Amino acid sequence: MSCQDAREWFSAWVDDALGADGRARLDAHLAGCADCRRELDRFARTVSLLHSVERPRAPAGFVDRVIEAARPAPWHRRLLRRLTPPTRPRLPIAAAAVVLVATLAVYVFQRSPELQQAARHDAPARTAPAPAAPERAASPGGVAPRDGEAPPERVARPGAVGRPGAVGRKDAAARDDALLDRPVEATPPAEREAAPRQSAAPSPRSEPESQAPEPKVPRPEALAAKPAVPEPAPQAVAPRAAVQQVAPPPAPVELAPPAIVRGAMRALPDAGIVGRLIVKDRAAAERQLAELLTRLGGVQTARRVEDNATVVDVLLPRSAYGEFARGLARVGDWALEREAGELSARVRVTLRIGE
Amino acid sequence: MREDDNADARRLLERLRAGEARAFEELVAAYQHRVFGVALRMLGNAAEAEEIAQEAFLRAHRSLAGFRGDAKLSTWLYAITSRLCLNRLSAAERRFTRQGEEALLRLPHREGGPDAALERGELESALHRAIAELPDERRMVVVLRDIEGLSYEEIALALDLEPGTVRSRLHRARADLKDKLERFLT
Repeated sequence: MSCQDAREWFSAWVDDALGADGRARLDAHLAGCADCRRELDRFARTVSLLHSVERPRAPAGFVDRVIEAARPAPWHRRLLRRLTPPTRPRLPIAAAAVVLVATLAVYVFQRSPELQQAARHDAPARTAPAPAAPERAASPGGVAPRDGEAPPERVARPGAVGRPGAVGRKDAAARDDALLDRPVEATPPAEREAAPRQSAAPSPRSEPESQAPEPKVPRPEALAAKPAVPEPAPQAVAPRAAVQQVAPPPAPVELAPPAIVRGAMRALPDAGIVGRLIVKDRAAAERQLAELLTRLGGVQTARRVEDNATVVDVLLPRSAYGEFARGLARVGDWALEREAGELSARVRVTLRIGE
Repeated sequence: MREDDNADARRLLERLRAGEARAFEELVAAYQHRVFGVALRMLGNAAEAEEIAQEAFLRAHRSLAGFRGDAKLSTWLYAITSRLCLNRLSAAERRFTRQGEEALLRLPHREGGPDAALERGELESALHRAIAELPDERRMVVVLRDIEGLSYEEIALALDLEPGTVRSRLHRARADLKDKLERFLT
């Protein structure tokens, strides 16, 4: 047996795991090899050291923690775990939900204060000059101004909410220009092209003060409008502002207001045309009215039932008003109760439909 | 050293299989130091060792129904623990922290043990460092054999190795330790 072979058996020798034959052979080698005896001695002492090593103790409270962790979860938590998918798909869904809720919250907050403010500041809005752009950023409304994010086309029109029809067309146009010209990096090129007046306009910060006598309406809403907001909403919020504008061709989609805004519009002062439409069948008449509006590019902005009559507010282009009145005459007996002195670009008509 | 050699361990196993909650608590209390000790020797970090030890008991709790009783309860627990440790050690993020396992140097040592040289001192530190520096597989075998006192067969069962592999790894580990402690052994 070589020394190398003998030393391979040291471990088994220490553990007394060699058979009788193996032990006899190793002992024979050791008897004649002082080096291997010395090595075996060191090997055995090493193992002895290892055997003397004390086992560490588990920390205090370990048993309680294990028992607690092993306790089955309550039935409702187990049920929830079964019903919900694993973590990986759940995370994006939660993130999407958060984003959706946040977007809706911003959307609602952008609009609710502006309508309230518009009603409150109705009278002074007609004469007060416009504050400078930086002041708007600090104006009330509870929505942080986000100039860099707000497309100008959208921010301009909601600012006019609450102005009655008395504001001149020129003022409205100048106000729109001032807001439209605000430098907005986030605005896509396509949107910028939609407002060609921008390119020729002077500095956005100087213009509101020098050219556009602006009603002192609270306008946080104008600055807070975000690209994510659907395009039709701002215009629908401000039907009266639209009346004062340069009368772009009315697109039905532009006039469709979100429901939340439609409801709020009832609080606005009514300066449009009011008439009574006597029909045989109110439901049929409303259907015909809807068809008429669709054909003429108008839109129904409100509907309520009062004293056996259905009151419907509609908004339609001035050029279509004549045809609208003729159409109403075909639906039933149409009688004006209040007529506007001068028709704006968009005419607001309140119909009391009775039988 | 091996409580499960006796009739108490067999009764405990029967109660565990019967789903007796109190029996599991007794199991944890009886084996906590062994399981934690192996985890600490292997991982060198008390917090990580407790985490692994807890996980080992929880897995045992979940798998009790499938435990046939071919092996001892302790061997089964060592098997679960050693596998968890080796998996943790092989994890990519764990490999980068291996060099800092200084905690192994502070492991407790029996006061007044059989070898006077093991009194707290240089030899003790050298021994712990030498154990910590062993390759994982060899360290696992030497821990189970020389510190926990398992037989070759039990180690082979726990680590799912051939007995010859256990012998070989154990011999290499001990020889490695002897070489590292050479200056204390002359």
